[in-house]
Amino acid sequence: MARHMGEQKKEAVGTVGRKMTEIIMECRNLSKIYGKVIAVKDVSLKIGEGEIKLIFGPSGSGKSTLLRCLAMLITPTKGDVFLRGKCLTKPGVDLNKARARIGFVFQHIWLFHHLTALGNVELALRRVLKLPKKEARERAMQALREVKMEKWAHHYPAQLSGGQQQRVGIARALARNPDIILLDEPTSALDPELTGEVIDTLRDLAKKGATMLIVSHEMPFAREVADEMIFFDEGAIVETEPPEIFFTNPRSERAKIFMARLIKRTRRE
Amino acid sequence: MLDVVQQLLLMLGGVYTTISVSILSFLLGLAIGLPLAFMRTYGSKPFQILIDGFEKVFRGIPELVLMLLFFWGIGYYFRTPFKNPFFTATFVLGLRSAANQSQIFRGAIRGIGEEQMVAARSLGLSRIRSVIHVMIPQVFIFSTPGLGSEYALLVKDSSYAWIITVVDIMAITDWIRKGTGDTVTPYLLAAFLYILLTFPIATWLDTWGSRKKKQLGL
Amino acid sequence: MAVSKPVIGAGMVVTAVVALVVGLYASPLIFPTAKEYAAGFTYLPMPPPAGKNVTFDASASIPEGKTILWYYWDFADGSPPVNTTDVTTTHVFGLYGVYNVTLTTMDNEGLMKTGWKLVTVIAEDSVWARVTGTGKIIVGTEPGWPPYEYINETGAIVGFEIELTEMIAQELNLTVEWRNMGFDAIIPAVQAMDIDLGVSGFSVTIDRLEVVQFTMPHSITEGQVIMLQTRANQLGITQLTSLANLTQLGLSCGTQVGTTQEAELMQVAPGALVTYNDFLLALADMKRGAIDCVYAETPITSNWILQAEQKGETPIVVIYKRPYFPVAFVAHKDAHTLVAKINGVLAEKLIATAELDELKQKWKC
Repeated sequence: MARHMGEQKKEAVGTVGRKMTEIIMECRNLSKIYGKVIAVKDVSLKIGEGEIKLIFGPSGSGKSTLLRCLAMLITPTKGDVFLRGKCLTKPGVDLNKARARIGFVFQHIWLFHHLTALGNVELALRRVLKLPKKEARERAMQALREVKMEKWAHHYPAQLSGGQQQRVGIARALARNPDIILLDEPTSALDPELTGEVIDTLRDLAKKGATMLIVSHEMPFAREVADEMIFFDEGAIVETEPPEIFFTNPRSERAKIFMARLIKRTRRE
Repeated sequence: MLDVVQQLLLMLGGVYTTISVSILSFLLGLAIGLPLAFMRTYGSKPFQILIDGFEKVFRGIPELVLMLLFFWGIGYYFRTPFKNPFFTATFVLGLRSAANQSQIFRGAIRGIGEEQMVAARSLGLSRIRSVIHVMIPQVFIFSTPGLGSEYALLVKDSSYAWIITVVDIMAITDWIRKGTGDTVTPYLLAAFLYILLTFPIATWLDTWGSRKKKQLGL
Repeated sequence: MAVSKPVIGAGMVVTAVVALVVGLYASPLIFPTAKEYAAGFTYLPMPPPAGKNVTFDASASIPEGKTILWYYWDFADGSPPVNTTDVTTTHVFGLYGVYNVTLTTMDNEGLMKTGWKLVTVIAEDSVWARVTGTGKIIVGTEPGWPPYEYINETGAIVGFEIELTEMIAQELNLTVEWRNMGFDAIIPAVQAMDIDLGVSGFSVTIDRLEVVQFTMPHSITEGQVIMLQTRANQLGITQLTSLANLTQLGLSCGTQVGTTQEAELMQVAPGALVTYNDFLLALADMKRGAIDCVYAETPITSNWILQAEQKGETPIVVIYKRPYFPVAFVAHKDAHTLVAKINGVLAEKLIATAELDELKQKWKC
């Protein structure tokens, strides 16, 4: 999945070497203001190729808004967004083409009701990448195989469980071979029994070297998979660390409080 | 007395005209109403006001009045297609249907939800393509029951066309009454014919639509 | 000596004169000099319609043994004269009228001749052209006006005007293609030449004359006050002299609101007036005995009388009548030939031979 058509794969060589990998997505001083409410406050971050970063924090902190700004589903009020170095926020940019290279997985999944699982995955291949029928079908089936949903290719979303639907949603986002995948709390809307299958799928993706930016509360998963975790609160980045730091000794007070509450909750469960 | 079968046979010519007016005006309403619904949902303010005005006019004025206005008002004086009563009836009913269908489709768009558009755009689909490939198919399935009753309404309201000299079912019932003095049978038969023309299609669309909606979770 | 000198003298003079005359007359036969000829021509079609090509043929001008060098045509319609070496030439007359067309020729011996003809150009009747071309006449009608045109007990469209039209068409060797339409659609259809003739109980009125032309009328509608025969006998009424009689006799008379009948009653016999929304409602009340009579017009009243007779009900009689409008067929304003032909049949075959009267008897109108 990390192999992009016609692009050279840059090697990630340890922590030092990471500086030489290509920055897939970046935002500088990004802000989103709704009237009087500042949802995202002056956020800057970078994600390099093959990196997996996870954003977490209290609900209502603006994480979803940030993610949507990065995907250019919402227009940022201030600041810039870059995809492989190209600025997306300046005027005259073909946003459709840009979005075609970004995969987005929604919290509430939002599969297209009138299409089968296969149809959902195929749609962008045919209408965005303009692939011929046969090729689109093959690639779509391949994407479904990657999320282990190939047996359900001809089922409609209404006939699938939440977890199955989300896996199709991931396949839909993947099929175009995007540069990066953004996931907005992919398991939060699912029943607990169903989150497992989605987590497994994401783990597989991580192993294959996908570039991902995830907003999630799935701490065990984060610990296992993320290269970096970002604590987000009140619209701004509070602390950025490798996962272990957050689980053992977060630096900021707010992170400390949040992690404590989280661990208490997890223990209670 | 002219017997029932003979009267029915006479009225068959009118049935053809009635069906033609109904179907054509339905298609006209669809062709105009669907884009209007999307323009009203996603368009700029001036557009919305314009379309709102259009809907108010054509849903507020009785079809009969509009038909008479176009046929005797415009068609009589100016060299326009409104000189043709069939065209006038279809045109007026079509515009009224467009106003109705615009409402139906707008309800569907709202029912389906903005999320579908967001999901479509997130894949890189342009606005237009999102509408065509994601919204419109769902809008149709969602609206099928409503469209069924709209079609039935058009068949019924096509009976006004008689007054502007279209030879439909009603025109022939009038001649039968005047010629044979039978004041009851022609109208009973007309009622029967209209039910035949509306009931099966409307019911089928209704059941099929509800079933499909359930299947797809719409 | 029996014959005197003067007689012989006179005889000689006479003989000389006769010889001279005969000689002069016979000389062309003996001496083949320039034969006298006139410049003549023919033209087709006859009569030539305005706006169409008319071919003029000057073959008649060519003298034996000679050739014509040029033909000079003057069509007398303001267009420039035509000078041609062809024996035929075509011309289009813009407007109908009578034109004094002259032809001047010059032959190879230098002799110039002129001839003329009065050419009557008629207004183009494309309707008649189409009718004769297809052999059928398209007639528009609304079959809801008994007894002129209506749907009868067997579902066929019959009526006085229907039968009359068929009779006329037969005389003209045409078949009729009937088109049923709404009454208000007929005159526009005639104007647009979608149909050739409108047959639907059309009264000849001034506003209609502005847009179409009428054939000769076949009937004159009448306003009629009708009453049940039993009631008429009861009251001892046979004929009223005027509508005012109604008030004098204290009668109640029903009519339809908004009609000329209502207007007349309001003016002359307001006390007798009873208004209804429809003539049929008035008739129903009259049959029930709620009112004495009904004031309506033909052919509605004719139909009521006919129906009453056919159904064996109490007969209905006419106790007052007055003429209204002539009733005729409508045609396009330019359809002169068609109307002329129809009128010809109406006048000669039907009115003159009383066939029309028989038809009216049959349909009770």
